[in-house]
Amino acid sequence: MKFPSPSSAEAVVSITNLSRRFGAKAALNDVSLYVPRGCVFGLVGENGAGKTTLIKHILGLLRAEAGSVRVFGLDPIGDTVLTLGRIGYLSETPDLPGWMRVDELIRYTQAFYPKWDAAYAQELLTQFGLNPTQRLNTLSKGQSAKAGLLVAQAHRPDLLLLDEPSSGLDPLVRRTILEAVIRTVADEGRTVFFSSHLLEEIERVSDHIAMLHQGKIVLCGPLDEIKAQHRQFTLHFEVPPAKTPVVAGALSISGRGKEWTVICNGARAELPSVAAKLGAQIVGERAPSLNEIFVAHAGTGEIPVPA
Amino acid sequence: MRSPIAALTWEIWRRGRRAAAAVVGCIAFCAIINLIVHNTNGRPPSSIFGFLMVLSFAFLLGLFNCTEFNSTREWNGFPYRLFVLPVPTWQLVAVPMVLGLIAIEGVYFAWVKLVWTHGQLDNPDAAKATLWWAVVLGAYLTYYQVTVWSLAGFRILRSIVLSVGGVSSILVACLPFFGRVLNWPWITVEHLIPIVLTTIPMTFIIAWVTVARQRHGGGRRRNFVKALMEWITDRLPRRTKKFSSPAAAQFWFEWRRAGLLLPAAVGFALFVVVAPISWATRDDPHFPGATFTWIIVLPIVLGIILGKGFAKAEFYSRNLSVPTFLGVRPISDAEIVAAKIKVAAVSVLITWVMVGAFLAAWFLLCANTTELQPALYEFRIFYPHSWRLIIALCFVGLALLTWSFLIGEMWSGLSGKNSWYFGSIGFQVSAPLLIMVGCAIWSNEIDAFAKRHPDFLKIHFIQITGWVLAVLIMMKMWLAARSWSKVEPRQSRRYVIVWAAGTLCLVGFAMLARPPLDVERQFHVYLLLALLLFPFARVGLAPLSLNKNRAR
Repeated sequence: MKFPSPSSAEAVVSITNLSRRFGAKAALNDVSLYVPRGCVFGLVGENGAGKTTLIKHILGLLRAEAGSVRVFGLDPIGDTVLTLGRIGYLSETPDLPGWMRVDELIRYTQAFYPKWDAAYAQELLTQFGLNPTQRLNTLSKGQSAKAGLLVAQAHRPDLLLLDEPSSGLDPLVRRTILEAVIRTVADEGRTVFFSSHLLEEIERVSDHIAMLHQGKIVLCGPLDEIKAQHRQFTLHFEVPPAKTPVVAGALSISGRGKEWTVICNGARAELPSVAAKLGAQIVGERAPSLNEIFVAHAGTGEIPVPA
Repeated sequence: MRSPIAALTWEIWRRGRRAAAAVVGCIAFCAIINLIVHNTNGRPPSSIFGFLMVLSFAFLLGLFNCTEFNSTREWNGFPYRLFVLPVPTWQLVAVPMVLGLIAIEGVYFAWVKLVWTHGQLDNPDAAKATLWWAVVLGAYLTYYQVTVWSLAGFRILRSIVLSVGGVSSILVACLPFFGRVLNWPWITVEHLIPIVLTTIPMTFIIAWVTVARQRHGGGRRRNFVKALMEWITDRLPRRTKKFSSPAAAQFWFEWRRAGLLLPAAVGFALFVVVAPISWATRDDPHFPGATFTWIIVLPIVLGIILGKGFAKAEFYSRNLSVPTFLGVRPISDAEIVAAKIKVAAVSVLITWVMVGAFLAAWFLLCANTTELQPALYEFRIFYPHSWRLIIALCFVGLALLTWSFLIGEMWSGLSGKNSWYFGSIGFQVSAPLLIMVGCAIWSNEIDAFAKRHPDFLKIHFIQITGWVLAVLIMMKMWLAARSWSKVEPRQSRRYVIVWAAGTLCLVGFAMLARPPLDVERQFHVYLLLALLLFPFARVGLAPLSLNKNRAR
């Protein structure tokens, strides 16, 4: 599948034909991806789809077996210091050293980033309600996420990389993280790369998305375009079909009895004639949610029929 | 699995089957050697058997310690995940304890019946002694388990308690011997066995209570000692200044993780073990020689042991991968390695200053130097002009050696590859072991050969050693040139200067301390050894290993 590829000058992250295997399992399979500057790029995919593997390649923590990865036009493995110096990273499990205290973590991290904004760090510390003298191993999961977010953000990185940052967190901390995403984008020229399987979050803040499924990109582009391309139709059959009807051009079809739901990607014009041939008529049409589009592409299960 | 106990047993077996295989391997190996020696009417290599027997017990302790590491909580205790199983706590605790007891007794009696069959245990009280050792071993296993579970979260305290407990167990095991020698009628095997046996159910109860507390959330925060230690550390002065550079920050990070371990371990051994023994034996002229040797050797031995942990990206972790927290720092691999090298240097410096101060105090206060005086006098006669410089260079050399043991393993520890790391350690352990085994097995032949060819050792052996060392030096230089060429020139230059200075000290020592009458022409061997000792190529490989580990 071909996806739009902006010129490398515009792309903060540029991944070309990236493949990676772990033993017999292909974690990434010929992935190509371009993250434009100044956008919030959402990476979605089910557990084990390869999101973290992809992010580790961007960070230079994994070496590309095939293909290439460029971040700010640099090789993240060859130019580790230059690349990582412009990235702020927060993972699902922030992996902070438990023996450190919050203020020590801040001072330690500050040393690595010449652009560290001490006033901003102090502001975030106050805003997040973190106790500077508290040991990191005594922080709750939400507080750890906030501490990790503070040190990821306080040097105002050109690229904020969030790997399922809000997974398992309460709504208040999730809101804090989403606000951080929005605030980062508000700073001119900064980019956020955000992976999650919480599609509502991605839908709320992202303007570009890529969908990974079993190590392959199945969908990539501006969110508005993707949502505009996909439509969900409700078909009404006079006689209930004996088995699941085959609709040419449909991504998924589900339902039972006389009512069936079809999600199409760009095959909207052909659907009325196809439905007529099947002896059905279109009784409803609406824009599917990102969740429904994801399930249709992933093809892992039936989409629940809307009430 | 039909029952929770079967499932827990299976898990212990599944996790420790390699250790079990190693135990069986040790016994089988020694039993075969024993059989061969028995058939040839030779002398069994008891020291090797003893070493492998201890090693097999160490494997068993590892198999049944039943702990899991949690890096976030810094907790290495009873696995938390087992607490959510619908199994009563006493069963969770009893399974590893009972299985451990069965295993250790089984292994012990296997050694007795299959290996120690040459009359080593053949004395009037052999049966009682065998039983007594079995009881002590079982008791130590339960003591070990209760210590690792109840002191989870207190790594240093736990190490100390385990060390003290290990030494105490040996002393307890020797009590019947002391009782016989000192004519204490109440210290006999018959009296001691019931006493030690009663400690086993006691340790089980303690383990049950502490694990139950941990299971119900009372294990850590309510712990008085932990709270007290945190209260004290909270009041100690802490760094509040900014770091001047990433290298300074990384140095602080490495120092906080592992910098004080060597000085603390050496200090503990000196002040808690050596000092009381020295004071107690201050009037005995036979002890100071051995005590002096132990004081000198202690930092090196501990450097070798701690160096295995120091070489890894995360000292306490069993996982050799670079933690993501460290991996995403914008700092080069060479800078991370340089920080570790500097921390090791400071750590060694503090240790040897402490050893020097201890030696000075020991000589002044409690060393009976009657037996040392002639040796010192002889030394001053042989080296009348340079003896002070030789002593100074000897200390520098020992410190450099300790340092090299701390940093010399980084090439494998930072690689993230278990095969490299454990392979290297395995080689370091097995190579001397195999040589010892070979020497033990063919000792008669070696003696006969040495008698038949008296000049071989004097001439050819030294020549061959010299050539082997020369080839090793050439290989070292070639590897060093290749590895350092891939490291940042600034770091390479710095380390070359350090290496040159260190090697110069060792060469200076070799030149000054060569035998005054070098009739066998050994000087070149000393010189080549001095050139070989200080790590050069291995340190150059460390950044490359780290790079491969960081970007897998």
